[in-house]
Amino acid sequence: MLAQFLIHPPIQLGPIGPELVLTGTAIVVLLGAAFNPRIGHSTLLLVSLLGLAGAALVSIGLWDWGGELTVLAGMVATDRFAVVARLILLGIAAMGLVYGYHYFRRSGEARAEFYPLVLFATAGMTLIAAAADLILVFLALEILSLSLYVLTGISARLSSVEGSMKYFLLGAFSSAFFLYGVAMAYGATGSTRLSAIAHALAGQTGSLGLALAAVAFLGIGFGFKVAAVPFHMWTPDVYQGAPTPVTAFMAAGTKVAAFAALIRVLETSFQPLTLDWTPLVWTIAAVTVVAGSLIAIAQTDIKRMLAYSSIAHAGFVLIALTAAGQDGISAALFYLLAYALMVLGAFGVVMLVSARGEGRTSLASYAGLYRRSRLLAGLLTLFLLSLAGIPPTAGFIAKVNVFRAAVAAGHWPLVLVGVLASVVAAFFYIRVMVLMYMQEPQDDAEPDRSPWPRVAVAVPAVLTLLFGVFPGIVLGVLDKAAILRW
Amino acid sequence: MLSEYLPIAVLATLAVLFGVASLGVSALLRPNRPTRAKLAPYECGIEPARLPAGERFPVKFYVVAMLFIIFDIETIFLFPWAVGFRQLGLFGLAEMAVFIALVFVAYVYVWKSGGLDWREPAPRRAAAAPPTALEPEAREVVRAG
Amino acid sequence: MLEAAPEMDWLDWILLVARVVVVFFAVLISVMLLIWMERKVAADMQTRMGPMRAGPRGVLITLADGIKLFFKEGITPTLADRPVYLLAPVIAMIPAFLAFAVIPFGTGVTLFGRHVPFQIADLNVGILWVLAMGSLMVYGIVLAGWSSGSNYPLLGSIRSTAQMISYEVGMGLALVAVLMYSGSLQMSQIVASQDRVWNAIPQFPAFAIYLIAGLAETNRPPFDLPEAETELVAGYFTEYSGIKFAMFYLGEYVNLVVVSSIAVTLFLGGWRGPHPSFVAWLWPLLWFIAKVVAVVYLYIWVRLTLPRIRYDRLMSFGWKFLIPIGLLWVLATGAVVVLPDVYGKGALLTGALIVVGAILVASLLWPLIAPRRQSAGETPQ
Repeated sequence: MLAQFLIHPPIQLGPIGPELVLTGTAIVVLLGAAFNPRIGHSTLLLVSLLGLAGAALVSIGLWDWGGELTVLAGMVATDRFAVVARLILLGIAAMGLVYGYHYFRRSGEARAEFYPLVLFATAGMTLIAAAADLILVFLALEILSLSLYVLTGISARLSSVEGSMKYFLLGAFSSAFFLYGVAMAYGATGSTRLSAIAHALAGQTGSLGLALAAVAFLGIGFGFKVAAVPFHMWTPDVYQGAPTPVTAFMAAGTKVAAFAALIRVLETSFQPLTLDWTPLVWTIAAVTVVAGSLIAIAQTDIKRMLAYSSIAHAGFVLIALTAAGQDGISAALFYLLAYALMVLGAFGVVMLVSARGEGRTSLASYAGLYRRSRLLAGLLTLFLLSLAGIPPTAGFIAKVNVFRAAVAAGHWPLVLVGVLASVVAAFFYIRVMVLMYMQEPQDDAEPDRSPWPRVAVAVPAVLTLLFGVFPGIVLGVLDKAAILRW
Repeated sequence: MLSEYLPIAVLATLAVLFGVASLGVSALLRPNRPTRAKLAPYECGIEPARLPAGERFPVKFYVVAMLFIIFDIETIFLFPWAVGFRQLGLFGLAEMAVFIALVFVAYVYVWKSGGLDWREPAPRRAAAAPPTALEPEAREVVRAG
Repeated sequence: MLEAAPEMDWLDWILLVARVVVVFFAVLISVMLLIWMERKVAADMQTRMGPMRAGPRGVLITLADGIKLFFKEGITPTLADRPVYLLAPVIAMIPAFLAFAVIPFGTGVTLFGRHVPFQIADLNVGILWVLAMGSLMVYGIVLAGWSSGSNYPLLGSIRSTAQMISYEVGMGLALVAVLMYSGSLQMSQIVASQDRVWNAIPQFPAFAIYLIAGLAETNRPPFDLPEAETELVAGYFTEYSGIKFAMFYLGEYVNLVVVSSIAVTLFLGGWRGPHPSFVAWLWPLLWFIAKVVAVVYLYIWVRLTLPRIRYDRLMSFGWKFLIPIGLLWVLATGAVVVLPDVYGKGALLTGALIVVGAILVASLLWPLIAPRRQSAGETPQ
């Protein structure tokens, strides 16, 4: 009687190979640090980076996966979209680890748990990018969120703990919304598998009202994670409170991961309802770009300013989503890649300017940065230009792509809103540049002059320029990856 | 199906009745002559007072509660497997071994980082951790362990 | 919603209620005798007489105590939270009775042409029911300690909670091992599966873990830290007097009966035992009672022999020995049951089981008997 329920699915572990490598490395690092508290953090960093490299290799090996479209009972997708999203996320994690190694050593808060936590969060992020079942999406979402809650509060500072607490409470809240959405999707279609939901909805066998409610609830859950207005309240406090490397990792990684999952959910399972959810995404996108850009003007702290800027950028990716189909997905992927590069770079500079811990993150401390360090001022200028969407940077190409896809889908009013918001946003980016170049330093605090972190920050700078001038190098790959197979 | 629980409902009713009736009848029959000293909370020869700092407890107890949740849930996961593991065969055994091994990793980590030690850990502070606003209060915890 | 099975008539109802009432009072009387037994055994081991006056050889001493407590003045401390303070003893007592509901204490008897089982309810989730009731018992203790508005009860209740939940994990793992061996959660099935050999023999490590965890669950010496007189006056019921105190006392001893009965049911073959064929319903009952008395005697013996353990050692014993050994034992049991199915049966595997069991038991007992190395930073608390 029991046996018939206990037949297990065929086990193909290949498509979750990257996650297995990541968690394996994380466990090794965790136990290694636990058993040998005196172990050098450079060793931990090296092992973690090797794990990331291994995961990346396994991901690349999945590019030409010839097997089934989904494996492990339809839980994991094997398409190239997942491969590309994973590679972006692994790169973000590598940057986050390098930043963190330097930052915590300098601030005297070095804890071995940082490395496994980042690896676990990364595993959650890459898994969510490949999740083909709402249950797995939720699971991966929790893996990444729980790790990030702890990472946010890993410093002993009060603001860090406070940010962690806020993030945890609101995150738990959004998880509840997400779960309600999963339950409703199951109620409407009788399955949590994305492909099965799509089939049920296309065949009109399910309840449409319930399915729409599911879209709304899932949208709220994702809205919290990508920080779209009006679900963005936690973002400034958490980004400001968290240690800067964690902020960089979280701002880039969570957004890429959550958008990857959102794209997959909307474009596969709820694809039959495209006409119904497009107005919803349209509205949220418009509100998000406008609100993010406007509120950012009023900020006096660079981390808060970048937090609101990241909210605005979530809005731009949402604009890409309104243009459903391959063009939209490709534009969104490129935008996410560019966004990850510039956010990692900008927070990297913030970390170096602050020198030790979080002492100097107010905009005033950027006055006259050019006099103190030409390199840092130059790098930050590049990232700010890219964030503002000014050529020749990747941010420009990304915005152009997004707008083109949206116009092609007939959403030109939304594009108009986006362009106006970009103009507003340019104001506060340029204000920082004015501070850096045209004002005298207010104190004689020195930025961090360690050489290697500068090299690390230069990596996203070079890539931002490269993708800005020769976008063709990646666009071809992204176009191939922009087809969801399910 | 639920009729299996009928005798338990009867038993529960009986137990509640027994408890409430004993309390009630005893309240009617026993003497009641309160005095101030008699009603004061018990204390060994000093003025009774509530615990200082509003009933704060060592964080150890919270850690135990959290660990309990983790391991209790692990045990609960073991129950359905234990019922069906003959049918699941080697596959089920291997899966459960992986699951137990993963929880064991967390367990070993907690053990090595001192989460299971009831003694006060040796002060292990970060070299240059700035003093936080939390610290002065954090010292005023009750020693219950 | 509780619905009666459709075929129940008035006779079934009467039998059901009568069965429950008889069991309830039988448990009460058994507690009475148990307390007397404990006092007598204690007296015997300390070469004194023990209670002698109330009834023949003092057997009614508990009744006398109960009547005394019933008429004692009840004190509610000024700082107490009255409703919770009143409810806590009842809450502490009820789960103990409910846990007894799933234990089969005999085969059954035929009355008026109907079969009356010697078990209140044969739930298909028997073991889980026992665990659930064990968890509920913690509430009574926590609420009592918290609502008393006094320091010692609060400390005692927190300690007690930490101790009970810590050992509950070990107990749960021991029960999983039994469950794997028997293949059912239902108590009657578990008893039936022990027709050839008692579980205590192949599952000896689980039995040992269960007995130790049972000590901690019942807050009995040497694990009676929550009510350690020398430190906490009387622990969580310091502020209780009169009938409310009696209820805690009752709950604690009912719990002892329950823990012993479960040990008998899961490990010692339940009511099974050789018996003559006349009055066939009586012998299993007697076997059950005899086995429970044996386990209770063991607990009393332990209480009188071992000194109270230090709190940090109590916690580290639960977390650092019982849990890993329980986990390993579960895996070992799984391997020994599954592998012969895959690779064919062999004496080798049975041998392996015995070796693994022996090693585990040895490592379980070693920290208790090993001379303790004094590490540098260690100071007794």
